[in-house]
Amino acid sequence: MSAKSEKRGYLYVLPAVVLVAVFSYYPFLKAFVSSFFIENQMGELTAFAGLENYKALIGNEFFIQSVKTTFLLAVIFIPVNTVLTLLGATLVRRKSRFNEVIGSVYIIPLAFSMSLFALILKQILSPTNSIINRIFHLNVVWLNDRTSALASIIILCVFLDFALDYVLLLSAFRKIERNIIEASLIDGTNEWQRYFMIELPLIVPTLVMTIFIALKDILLISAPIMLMTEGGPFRSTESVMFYYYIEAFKGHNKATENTISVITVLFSALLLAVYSLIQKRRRHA
Amino acid sequence: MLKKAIAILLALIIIFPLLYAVSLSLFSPRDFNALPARLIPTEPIFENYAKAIRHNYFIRYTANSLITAFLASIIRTLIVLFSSYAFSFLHFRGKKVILFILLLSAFIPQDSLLYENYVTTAKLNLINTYMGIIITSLFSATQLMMLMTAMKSLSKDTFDASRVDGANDITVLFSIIAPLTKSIIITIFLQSFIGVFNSYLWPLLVTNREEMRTIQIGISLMGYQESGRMGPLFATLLIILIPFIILVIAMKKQIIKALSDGLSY
Repeated sequence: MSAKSEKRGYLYVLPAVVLVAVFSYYPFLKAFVSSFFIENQMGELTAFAGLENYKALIGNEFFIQSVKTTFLLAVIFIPVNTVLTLLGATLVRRKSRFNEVIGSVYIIPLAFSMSLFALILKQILSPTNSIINRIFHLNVVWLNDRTSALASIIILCVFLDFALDYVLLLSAFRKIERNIIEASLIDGTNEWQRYFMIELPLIVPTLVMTIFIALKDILLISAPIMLMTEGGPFRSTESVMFYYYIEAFKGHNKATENTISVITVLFSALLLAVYSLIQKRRRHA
Repeated sequence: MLKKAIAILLALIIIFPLLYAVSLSLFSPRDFNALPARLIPTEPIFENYAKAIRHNYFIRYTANSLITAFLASIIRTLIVLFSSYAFSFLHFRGKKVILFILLLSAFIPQDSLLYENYVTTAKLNLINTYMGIIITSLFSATQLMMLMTAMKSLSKDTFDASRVDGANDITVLFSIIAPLTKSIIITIFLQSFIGVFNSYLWPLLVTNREEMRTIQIGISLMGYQESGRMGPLFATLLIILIPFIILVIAMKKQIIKALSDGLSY
């Protein structure tokens, strides 16, 4: 180990170290420390506040409402997303020309960005003349009440997540060794038994992964809400991160901004840690 | 048979927004207001596309998006490449600790720290600059993991043999290591490109001058919605979208491989 080689090592990792220090660790530590103080508009810490900022946050009805909305979104989104992507991957998991064509359609959402898709979806769900209403003979005034506004957010998220989850599940299905399936053919099991007894259990790790990715996305959701509903009608579709955005950038509310930063970082780190543990245990089992 | 019917139904639902957007891009203003909503235009207005391209800011917004996506993915790929090389083949004190700190950053979602990062970016005088738009996207811990895993699978002999004749790091990295891990490097580049090209919230926060907006934000600032001329809006949208759709379908196999490799951690 020469001194020269040491220097080169440091030099090559330096940019990465600077970037995570400035844009991940520093802001987190700053928010963490500040969350226990009173902070003025200049960003100076004026007095120690203990847990007062956290108490104020928990006592804030708009924050509590945003937590409820976020969990409601997760509770609807996760099952819908999981069922649809699993259905898609299941239907076309065998290789055939028909399945390749259908599979090409299933990955089209990968080409969309969130803001472009939101523009189309807003036109499809137009409050004045929605094409969905015409096709299905509905009478919904979209985005005008909480239920349809939440539905529009879920539709956006499902569409944007569909292709990625579908691809991951499809690859998992196709990695199953042919001889495992062929062996079960000899046993005389039928298609359904094969699917539920052999194939599905083998893709569970991938399924767990897609669920955790979806969970992390939905718990930190803000941009889809900004694009579809702007939190409305009457602040009824604000998520935690949307509320954070409003408080930090429009309200300049330092205490709320710092405490929400800390809580959401810790929560998503916990989620990732749980996920790593589950995967590790599975590997050792 | 039922299976095929469900597969087709699902495909129709997924492709509907795209087909409807094509239809909308050919609508006249009157078609947009029709009651009940129209599925196809009374008469296709191809002029919408000409209007879309002629818009003062169309080229500027699109160029901003392409430039920032390209810059960010080049820089990010290089940063990941060099750090991965150092961790895989060089020895230096504190290597394990530094690696741990870098990988642990994957546990800190930057979405939760938007405001603090905005303040830092403002202090660095990077508001309304390309650098400001890409600054938070220049490193990814998961991509470092990906590339390190790929480099670990190369034999140590490959590296040692190449060092015997005194070749320097740059030569070894670009003529031996990089070609052997090409597919992962391409994946990292593409992931970064698409991520930055599609990003919405951060570029919205760090730009406020018209000419620095990216297309994802700019498309809603072109004045089409306000004036009720929605046809050119959807024409603009499709001009941006179509190259990506062609790319996704043409590179289907590579994309599926890239995505399933990239997320196996």
